[in-house]
Amino acid sequence: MANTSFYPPSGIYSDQYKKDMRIIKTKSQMVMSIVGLIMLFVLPKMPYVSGYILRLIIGAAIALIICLGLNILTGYCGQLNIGQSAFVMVGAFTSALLNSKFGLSFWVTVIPAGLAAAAVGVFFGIPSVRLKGLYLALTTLGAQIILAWIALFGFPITAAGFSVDPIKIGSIVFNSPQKFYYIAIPFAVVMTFFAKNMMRSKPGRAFIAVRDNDKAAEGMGIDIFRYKLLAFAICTFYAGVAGSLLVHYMMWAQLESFTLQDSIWYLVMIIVGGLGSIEGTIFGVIFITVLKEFVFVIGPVAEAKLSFLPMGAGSGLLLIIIGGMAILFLTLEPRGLAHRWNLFKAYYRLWPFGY
Amino acid sequence: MLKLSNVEVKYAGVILVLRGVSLEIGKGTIVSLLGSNGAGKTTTLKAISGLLHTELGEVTAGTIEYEGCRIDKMDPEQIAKMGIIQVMEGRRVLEHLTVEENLRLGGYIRSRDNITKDLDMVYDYFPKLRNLRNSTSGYLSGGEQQMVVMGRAMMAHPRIMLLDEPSMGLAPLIVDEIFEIIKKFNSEEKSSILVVEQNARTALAVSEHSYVLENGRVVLDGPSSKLADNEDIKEFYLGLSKIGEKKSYRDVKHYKRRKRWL
Amino acid sequence: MEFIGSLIISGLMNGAIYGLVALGFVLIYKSSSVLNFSQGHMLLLGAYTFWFFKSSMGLNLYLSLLLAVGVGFLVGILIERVTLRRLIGQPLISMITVTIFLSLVIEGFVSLIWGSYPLQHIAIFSNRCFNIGNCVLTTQNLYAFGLALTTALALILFFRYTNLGLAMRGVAEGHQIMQGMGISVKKILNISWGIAGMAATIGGIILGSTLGFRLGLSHIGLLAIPAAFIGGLESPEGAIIGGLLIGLCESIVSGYLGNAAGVPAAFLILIVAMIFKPYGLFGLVKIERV
Repeated sequence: MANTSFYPPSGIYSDQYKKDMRIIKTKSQMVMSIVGLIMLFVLPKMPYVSGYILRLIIGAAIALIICLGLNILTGYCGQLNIGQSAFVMVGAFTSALLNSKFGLSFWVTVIPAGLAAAAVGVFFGIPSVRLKGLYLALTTLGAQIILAWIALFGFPITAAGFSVDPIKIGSIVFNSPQKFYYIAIPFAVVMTFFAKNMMRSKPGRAFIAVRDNDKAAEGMGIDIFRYKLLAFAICTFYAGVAGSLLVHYMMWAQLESFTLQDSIWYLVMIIVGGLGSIEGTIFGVIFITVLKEFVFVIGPVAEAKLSFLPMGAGSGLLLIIIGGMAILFLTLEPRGLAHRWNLFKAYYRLWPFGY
Repeated sequence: MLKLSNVEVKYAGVILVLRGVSLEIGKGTIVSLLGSNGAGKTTTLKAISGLLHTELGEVTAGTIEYEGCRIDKMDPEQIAKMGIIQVMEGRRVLEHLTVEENLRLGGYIRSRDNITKDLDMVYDYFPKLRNLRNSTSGYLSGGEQQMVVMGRAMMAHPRIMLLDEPSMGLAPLIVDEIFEIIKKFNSEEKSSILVVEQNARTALAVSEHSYVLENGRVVLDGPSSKLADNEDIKEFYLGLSKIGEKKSYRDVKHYKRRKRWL
Repeated sequence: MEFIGSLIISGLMNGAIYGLVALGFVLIYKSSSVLNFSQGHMLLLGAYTFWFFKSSMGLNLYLSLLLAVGVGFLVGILIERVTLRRLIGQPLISMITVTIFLSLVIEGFVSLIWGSYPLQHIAIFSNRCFNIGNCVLTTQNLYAFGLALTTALALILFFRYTNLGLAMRGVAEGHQIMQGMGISVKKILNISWGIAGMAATIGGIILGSTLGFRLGLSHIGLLAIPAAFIGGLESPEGAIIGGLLIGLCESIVSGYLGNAAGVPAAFLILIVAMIFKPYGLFGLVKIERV
């Protein structure tokens, strides 16, 4: 299947390898990126942008960080991970417990939270030395279940949930969506950039080699076990950081935020967006967040209107609709939104000379 | 018997691979399709056998007719039932199944009663396979796997067998053996064979008529013996500029001489 | 002594049910290389359909069973037709996601028609109990055990010795290859999902009559996953043995450690076991030639 993602605009060519590897290749891309960033930062001040929308965006930003990690492990490195939300939980509870027991602030605990999640992630990545594909996915499912059990029964305070301090910089307390926006978005932007940069460098290429044919990669001198573990570590580090952000945003740490359903939603986000693509992750997160919000909002309304049907019917109907739409989507474009986007760009750049 | 007229094939709606290919396969003949990588040979075969769909390909113009009826929009299963069987490139055996199970599946669409007879026929063509009947086909060597996939196609008693690069990755002696068997099958079973090859020498030797494909177009066709004598074919596909002489790099002036068919 | 005895027996009984659900997984995986995350929900739907025929429509027991199983077959085919048909030839992960979404749709459908509260109970089996030492066995346990074993045996024979079974194994190897040979991949997938639907319905009816007809039935699917994996995804024998093993492990660990520690322990043991036998006890090793 030909690769349709590399049609640069006409007239753009690179005469050096370094130039070809640039993320931003043309002047207009640079301009659009800068404008985009400015718009991001100005967004909360604009009219009609309510706290509700900001909450959505913050949720999406945190999900984005989680999904970036997941896409690195599953999309680029090919190791299916069905337990991502458990690793988010590890980071979240590490940060929350350090805060609750020792009063340490977010800025001190965020890196240890990420590292803790990474350590656990590497531990559960060890079976990847022998297991492949679906079978490896099972160990991540096991991670989800085992970690959830440990969190529930291993620590006395985690069962009921406990409170966490908000993030502070100097005298500013980030305890509202308007304010937390300025924590979430910079984190998301920076981590996206890091992810994109990592994937175009040596580890990124190694991941792709491992994904496509690990025996051949090994034959070329790539230490596949080491790189698989590295992918696990990066993925779960991202999860841990996101977890830390999450608990400090909600100012509350509870088990119910980290279920198997969430892990599956994260997977769905990267699949719908496009595996192995940073842009795809962004598309997928936005699409699914909007979709889920649709359910939350319309659900109770539908329930009320359809009160003649048995209890639970409204949300049931919604589930049918979302599930049906998602299935429709996947049957029409199994390679995700990123692929559609690339096709669109190719079509636009080549028009009217389609071929 | 099989006729392609101005067939145009596109992948994903934007990648044009075949730009108007016309070719004809008569009853009981061996036809070869030559061309370097990327010319569109496998795409032509897949267009005939209907397997383009899973790769997002489709025939967007032109017709493919088999015995007078159009097959370009039909399902691959129906096309196979009509007697057109493709042996795909890359020796795609059903890995976890044994050799005999692979062959049985080849004969699935025919009636059950003749299975043993058909199996014997294939084992007669490929004696080596008889000893390997119960081995897992994924672990066989390349040559043996090629025999399995060809035997699988033979089980279906095809009217037209489409062979995609049967010699790929095989030792020269095995290649000769396989082409001998192809010739034998053609003369005994009266099946037509369309063989796609990069190994021009062997393909020209075994076929009666040949087509040369470049960039999605047929650029040359004719009886194979005449093509083998054609200057351009000799230079670009057979590697002989002056017969028997060594080529000095100083004399290589490909860029100065255009192919006569351009 | 008696304590562990009763743990073993209850573990085996539960395990038989996990095995039955795992059989459904294996059936679908063996023929279409898809891990059907909605197996648990198909079980749920089957159970509710049976309830509908017996309770809502008041039909007699055997008729309801027959109808429910028939509907299960049709539902399996319907699901395959509507969703998986388009995905022939696409990457594995899309297929899996589609089945995950399918489970949502089924849950939604069930909630829509029957609501999310548990339904009125139906008892199928007489509540006779047997005592073996201190252990109690009900007829339901015995039925489930027997049913799981017979279904497994039937499937094993089917795959190994029939032409259709062979074709299903071929389809699992490569859809394109099979299409090129003139075998209707669509028909084969139809049939295998139909049978899986039937198996799920049967399992659902048994479970429903003991655990009650409620939405939680679909969670059995969760524990059946390690059962299917530990036995090897392509092996019906493996599914049953895996189910029994998981049932045993869960029962014993929960019995001694309490706190429902059985479930994570089962997964832990699974992970360790798979490091030694990556493709499960009886699974097919991936043949790789670089």
